[in-house]
Amino acid sequence: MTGTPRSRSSYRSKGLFPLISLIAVLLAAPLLVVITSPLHRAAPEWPHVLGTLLPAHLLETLVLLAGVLLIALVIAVPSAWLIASFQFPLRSVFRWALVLPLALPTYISAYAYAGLLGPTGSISRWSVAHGGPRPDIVSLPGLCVVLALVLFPYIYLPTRAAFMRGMRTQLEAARLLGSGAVDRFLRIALPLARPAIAGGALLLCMETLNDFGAVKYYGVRTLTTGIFRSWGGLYDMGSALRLSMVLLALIAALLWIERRTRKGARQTTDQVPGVPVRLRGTKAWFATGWCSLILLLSLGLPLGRIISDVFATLDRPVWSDVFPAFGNTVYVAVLAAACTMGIALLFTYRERHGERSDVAIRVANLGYAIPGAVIAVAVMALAGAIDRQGWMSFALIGSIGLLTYAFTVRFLAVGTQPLYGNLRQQSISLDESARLLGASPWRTFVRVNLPLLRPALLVSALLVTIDVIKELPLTLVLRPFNFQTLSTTAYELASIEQLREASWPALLIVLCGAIPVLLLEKLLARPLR
Amino acid sequence: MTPLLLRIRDLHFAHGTSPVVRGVDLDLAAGEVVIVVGPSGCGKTTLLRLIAGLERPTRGNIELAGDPLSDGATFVAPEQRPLGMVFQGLALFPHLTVNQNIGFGLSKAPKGERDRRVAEELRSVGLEGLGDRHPHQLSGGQQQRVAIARSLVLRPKVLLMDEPFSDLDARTRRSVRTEVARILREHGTAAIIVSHDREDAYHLGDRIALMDEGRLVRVDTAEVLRHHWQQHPFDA
Repeated sequence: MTGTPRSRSSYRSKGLFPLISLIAVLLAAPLLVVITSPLHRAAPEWPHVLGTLLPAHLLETLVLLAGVLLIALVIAVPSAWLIASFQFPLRSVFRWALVLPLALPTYISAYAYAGLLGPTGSISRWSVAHGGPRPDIVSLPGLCVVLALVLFPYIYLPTRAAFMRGMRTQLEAARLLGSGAVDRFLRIALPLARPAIAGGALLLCMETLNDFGAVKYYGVRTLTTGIFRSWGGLYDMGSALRLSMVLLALIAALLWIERRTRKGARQTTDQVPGVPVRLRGTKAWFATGWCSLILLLSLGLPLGRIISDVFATLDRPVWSDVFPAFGNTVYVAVLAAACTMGIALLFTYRERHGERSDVAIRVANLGYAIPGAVIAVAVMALAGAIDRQGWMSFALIGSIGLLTYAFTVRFLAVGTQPLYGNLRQQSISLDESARLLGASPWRTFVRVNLPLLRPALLVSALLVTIDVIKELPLTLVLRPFNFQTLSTTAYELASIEQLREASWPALLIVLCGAIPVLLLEKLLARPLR
Repeated sequence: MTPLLLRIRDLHFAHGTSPVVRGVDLDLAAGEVVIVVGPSGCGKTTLLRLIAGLERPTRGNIELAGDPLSDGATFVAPEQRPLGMVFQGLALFPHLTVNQNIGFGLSKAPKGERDRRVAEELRSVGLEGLGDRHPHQLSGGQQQRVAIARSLVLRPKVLLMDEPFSDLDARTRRSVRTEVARILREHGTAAIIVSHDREDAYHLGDRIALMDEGRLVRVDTAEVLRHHWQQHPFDA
């Protein structure tokens, strides 16, 4: 009786798995171009880059990475714990508002903070005028703070989800064993949330390593700026590609650390949401104060600066540039997110139901590690080779299809990581039960795994959409001719020192990014209370 | 006469406007074991959670050894109640060893005393030599005993157990049930055990409380109820 459905499902899987592998190979192709670059690309300035540029840029990259990660952990984990575990004034507002900094591009926040706390910033000038010190945030430590304030939701979101689901009975058991709130947090919640924290930290590290606009403006020498310096300053693409390989090695090390962190962790399978405990008196106001401070620093100050600049430029004709850019941005973001999540789901299915891990999928997932500009060059090289063959009636270079492909290569890891993390929390016995009831692997995935993946799927789609809206260098290089998005408009205005005019597209980027954040919160609110 | 330990009067609880527990009265004497049986969704687990303080009653009183745990004016937090609870899914901490799980509630005790009490409790539940294992390295029955030991090491006045044998196969269920009866007897701990299985009730309970629609419809000795159910097999 059970033999028929099993053999049918095996047949289906045999057809689907090679197709998934083929997609993975296509997505891994630009990375292969980078990795094999020493074989096909000369690097005349490499001795200079290796001796002088690389050590300084690598050191500052590592310091920046450690600083951003540390500060983001201090911000994100206690905030997630407070929101998930306690009731206090304005909690329901903070729950979604603390995700909003994700909508803010790092370079926009960096400009805004420089305008406030740079050597000639408004707060700095006010401080000096009143006999105080002159703060200067335009430095490596300052950049650590600015990036952490923008990027901490990458850790906050999955950590909050882990605190809200999956450990209710363990926390209640600890409580009945006399454990107080801080003790429960340190001894139960934190160790159990470790995989979620590690997953979020990995995304944050990747974002930090890929940042270009903010690090360039703050004068910090990272591997990414080194790549652009080699390419744009020394005119040596070969050295730029070799520096990309160093960056890739660093990311591979981070991925390895994250995998190891997950491997040692033991998960609960409790899907019942926890019940927040009401805080009273000083404790309640401390929680409200903490979340208010984080929100003010991460969103209030930079957004306030942007809005004030918008009002200061109301009489200037910025709209004629901004309106078409807005439409283009929405179009590209939706297209890229749909494509990325479709492929992410196929990869997740392959990882769950395949007999062994697929190397091509792992390589394809490394796309997030490579700076957008490098992917753009690699994609252009590939597309140029195809266009020259004349196989198609249209050119790939300068097409929306190629831009979507490049976004998928770039942001696939953002889509897959939360799905993988969530899938590991699903007991394998769920799949086994479905299989014993005659369901094929694909049906098991669609009917059993996928509904349980819904929160992670929404998180992934949200992160990909926001990333596409904010992405700058990839869009600059690969966009169709005369095709402006909000980020390219903001960049071009800022590059000609029209920072105040750049506040218009910047504000729209923030608003576009905020919509999926708010939608996500609404969808998650019902089951999570 | 055995002194009264736990006294529950007119206990009510509602989720929003849906009543879950409606006017429960129950007494528990020192060392006594009461089994609460009833159909799924009748409010058994909620009753335990109310006693443990994990839910706040909408009305009614709970007293332990004459001290109020919950009434109109008082609500003692769960971590301050001298009660133990074994959850349906056991709620063992997967990242801690057996020793660390059992010693979790003893974190304020000096290390030497903590180690001694953990070892003593391990012996009492027959798990010597397994203290360094993690929960996933134990069988279902062994995990059950760790969960019980973790609660009993704090010497609670009342042990609450929510469907403690539901995840075990029939054979293990019988042996663990016998083991639990022995442990409770040796410790002299009073217990309220929620179960949907009459065999559990016959073998463990001094008294059996039959619950339905949020109410205790009958509370009687195991003997009387066994006789009644034999006469009227479709009553519950």
